[in-house]
Amino acid sequence: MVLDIKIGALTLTKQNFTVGDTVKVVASFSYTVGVNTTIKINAGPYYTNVFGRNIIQACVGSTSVQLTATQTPVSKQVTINFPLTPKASGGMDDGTYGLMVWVDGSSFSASTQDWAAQDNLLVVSGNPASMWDTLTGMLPMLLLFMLMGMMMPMMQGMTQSFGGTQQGGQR
Amino acid sequence: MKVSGLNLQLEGLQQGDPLAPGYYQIGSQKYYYDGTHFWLTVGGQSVQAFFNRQTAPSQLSISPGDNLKITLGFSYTGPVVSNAQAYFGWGYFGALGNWAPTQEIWVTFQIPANQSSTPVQVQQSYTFTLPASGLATGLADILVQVNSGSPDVGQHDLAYNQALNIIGVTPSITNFTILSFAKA
Repeated sequence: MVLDIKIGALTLTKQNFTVGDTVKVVASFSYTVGVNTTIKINAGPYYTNVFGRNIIQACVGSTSVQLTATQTPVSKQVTINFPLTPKASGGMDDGTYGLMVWVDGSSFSASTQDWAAQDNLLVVSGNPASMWDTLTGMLPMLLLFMLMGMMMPMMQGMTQSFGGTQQGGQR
Repeated sequence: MKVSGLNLQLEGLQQGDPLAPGYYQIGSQKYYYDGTHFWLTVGGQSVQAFFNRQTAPSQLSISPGDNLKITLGFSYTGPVVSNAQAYFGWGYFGALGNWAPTQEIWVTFQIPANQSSTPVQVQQSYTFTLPASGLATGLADILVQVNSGSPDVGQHDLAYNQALNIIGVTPSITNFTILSFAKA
């Protein structure tokens, strides 16, 4: 018998979604607090560029969580839903996005443990092609036609000129 | 509401000649004694010097509205002392060693006579009720002192660094993890 035991943080695998879908995220954390309080937890997709992680605000969802006062750490599990808002409504392009969950007001610094993120988890498609997308898709072909339109008369002229010399040679 | 206790044991007090005000060289550092406290000049700023700052032997978790009982103790040999002053405070030592108390109090008490050669233990306590709101989450320090009296017992202090783990109104959150995600 072979035992396959893995110890460590769960690694999430990427999943496919269509714009307009709602994503349900389950997260957990430990907390201590001196008085009963309520915190807000957000979740949403992000893309990464030279400036770091950029959250797509139009797709952020949130939920309120009640924390009961405790001096010893207590584990809490929360569920947050967020929409994959289409590009046409100010949301996201088709592509692959990271997933982030955070306590509202987090500084996102490496030393704080009130947020979690993983790159390349949400593969999003289904944005309808816009007029601009159609035009940009056709642009290379249009350019080729224009180039051919310019080249054809020139090539025709060269052929005619070459033909004239031949005629002269026959004389 | 919880009552949490801390005990701080000062070094033994013995009656002797009181220290005269003036400058004193202790190690490589020069201090000014004003008759009650020692002062240190750091960056042009006068900062009260507390010589006996120690790492707290244990940390006490405490929340807004809880009661915090601080007990100081010392062994004593000498005559009866009236109007001795005991200080109890919790707060924060700054980068210069300056003391910024959040709650503090001076209590007048009497030290009973002990003419035997064996010192007797003297204790004093004070209980603070922590504010119910506006208390920041973090580690805090404790300071106790005994001084003055008739006859004067001199200046004795003891501080425990980071003795209090204040579980304040701001939640402390750790181990944030995404467990799963799926189409709703």
